[in-house]
Amino acid sequence: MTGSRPDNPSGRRSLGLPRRTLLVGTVAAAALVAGSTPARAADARAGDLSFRVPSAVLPKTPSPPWQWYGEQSGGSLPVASVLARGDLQGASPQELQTALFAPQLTGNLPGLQFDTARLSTLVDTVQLRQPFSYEASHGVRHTGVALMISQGERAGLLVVVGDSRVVTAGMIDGILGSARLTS
Amino acid sequence: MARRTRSVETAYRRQKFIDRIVVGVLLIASAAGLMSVLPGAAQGSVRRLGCRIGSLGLGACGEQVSIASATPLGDPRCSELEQLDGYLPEVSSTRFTLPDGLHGRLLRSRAGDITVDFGFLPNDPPAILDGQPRGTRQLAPGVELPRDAEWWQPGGQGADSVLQAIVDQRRRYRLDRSPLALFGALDNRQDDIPDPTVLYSSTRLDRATLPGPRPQSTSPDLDRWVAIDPAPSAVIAYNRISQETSLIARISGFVDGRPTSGALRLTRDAAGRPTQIMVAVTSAESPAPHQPVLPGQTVSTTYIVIPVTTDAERMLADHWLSSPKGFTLDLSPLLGWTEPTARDQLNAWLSRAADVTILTSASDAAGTTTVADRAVQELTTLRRSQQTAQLRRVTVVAPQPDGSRRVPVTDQQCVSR
Repeated sequence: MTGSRPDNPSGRRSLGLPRRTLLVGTVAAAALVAGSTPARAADARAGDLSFRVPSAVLPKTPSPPWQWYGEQSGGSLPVASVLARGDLQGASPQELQTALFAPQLTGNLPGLQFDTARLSTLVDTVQLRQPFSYEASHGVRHTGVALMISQGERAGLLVVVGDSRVVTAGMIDGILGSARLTS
Repeated sequence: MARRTRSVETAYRRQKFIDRIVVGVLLIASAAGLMSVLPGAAQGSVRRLGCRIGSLGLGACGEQVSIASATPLGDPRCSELEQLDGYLPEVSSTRFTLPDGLHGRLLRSRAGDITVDFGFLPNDPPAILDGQPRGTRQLAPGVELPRDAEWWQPGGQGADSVLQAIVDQRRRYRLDRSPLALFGALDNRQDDIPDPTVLYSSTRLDRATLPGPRPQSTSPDLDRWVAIDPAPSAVIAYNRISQETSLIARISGFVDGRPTSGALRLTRDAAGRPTQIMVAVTSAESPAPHQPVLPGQTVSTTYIVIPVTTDAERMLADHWLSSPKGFTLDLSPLLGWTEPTARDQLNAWLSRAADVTILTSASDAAGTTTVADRAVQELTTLRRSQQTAQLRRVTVVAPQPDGSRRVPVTDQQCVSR
């Protein structure tokens, strides 16, 4: 008993261990945040149609009839594809919808199935969203949504399609929701 | 003396005045007499000329246009033609001339629907997916109408307004360029021509629009079949009133070893669901079994109408339309050559649902090629022109609700003798 010094002369309760733990935790979290790749999006443009695509979708050379094509590769088949054309004139969304899926009659979109399309009108802008799926390769089914948009005489087309594990509803909404016809 | 002279002058003036009135009346009577000798159209022109002079060119001068002249069709000759009329209406064609000398046709169906036709039949509609604009065509100076578009007016309602707007726009154009343009500023009526109700465009079928496998093109091992011809562009017809969109593609195939051709019309509603599939196939002879050969040269058009109404039918239709080998139709069970097997869901459905009408007509010199083009045109515009005089035989192959073999039936009373 004699000569022993009290550990806490002030009489307050020690917080040393939890404080260190908190500090380590904060530093680790900060390191994780700094080291991780944030979900970025890049602006893209096809004719009068502007939209934002995730950074994982890389632009490639488009083939007709598209003006902009981007894909997230995942082996022999891209797991996500974004296709756009924005210089269309005098075309209604319904005409564009039919033109987009017409090659199904020649076997180009095997197993094509539609969900109910959604038509919305805001002032002079008409948007038609058509969810669909088809067999992109043997045994691999891809899902997507096509957005047909018209504003007066101008019109555009934007399609997001791919593996449903990558092309989620959030990703589709993010891309299609950013689509605008600009001059 | 002076009073007497004044009295004589007054009497002379009065007499002169009366003489002028008499001469005026005689002139009017002579003009009326001359007018009565003129034909009706010339009378109208003279009357309009007088009205225009009187109104300094500002009056409409009775340029009202009427669709009442559209010739109504009589009743169909038989129930088989009446049924076909429900899917592909027969129309009468009446030429009209607007006051400015503009010509056109009124195409009227039995239901009273009227299409105002200015000779703009969809010939080479714009490929909208390739950015081709629809463009306009000048009907007359000051009157521009959209290309590849039609004014189809259900029940004929609104057709008058279209014609009147064209007349008014032409009159307005003339007025704006006349020396009386200043007075024209007082006439501030805006006579916009109503938007067309049916728009035509085109699209390619042989080009993939989305990433995926290439088609497996193989000829079907069947006796009677048609398949999509991928080379020609397909036509898209968008009806702004019904909100339905149709895709019309050329088809070709073989019937008993002989080549055949025609068209497919696939219609989807506003929600993208298929509602009807229509096929027209032409051949030299009737493709149905047990049909006696008719004397002389004939040509047959087989109309196949498949309504798609239930969810199960829509699934079957979507699966059929997007086959990896492309769209193919086996004609044998539909025409009554074979009985669909229970395992063949598609042909069992088609056998239960499809209406088949075969019209055999006397062939003209051009033969089946012209008839095939006409079938494509019919399915594109969704109307038939009157051909009853050439009709030689009407055969129907009715749906079989129990899925048994279909039987072709010929109505002998339906053709002219």
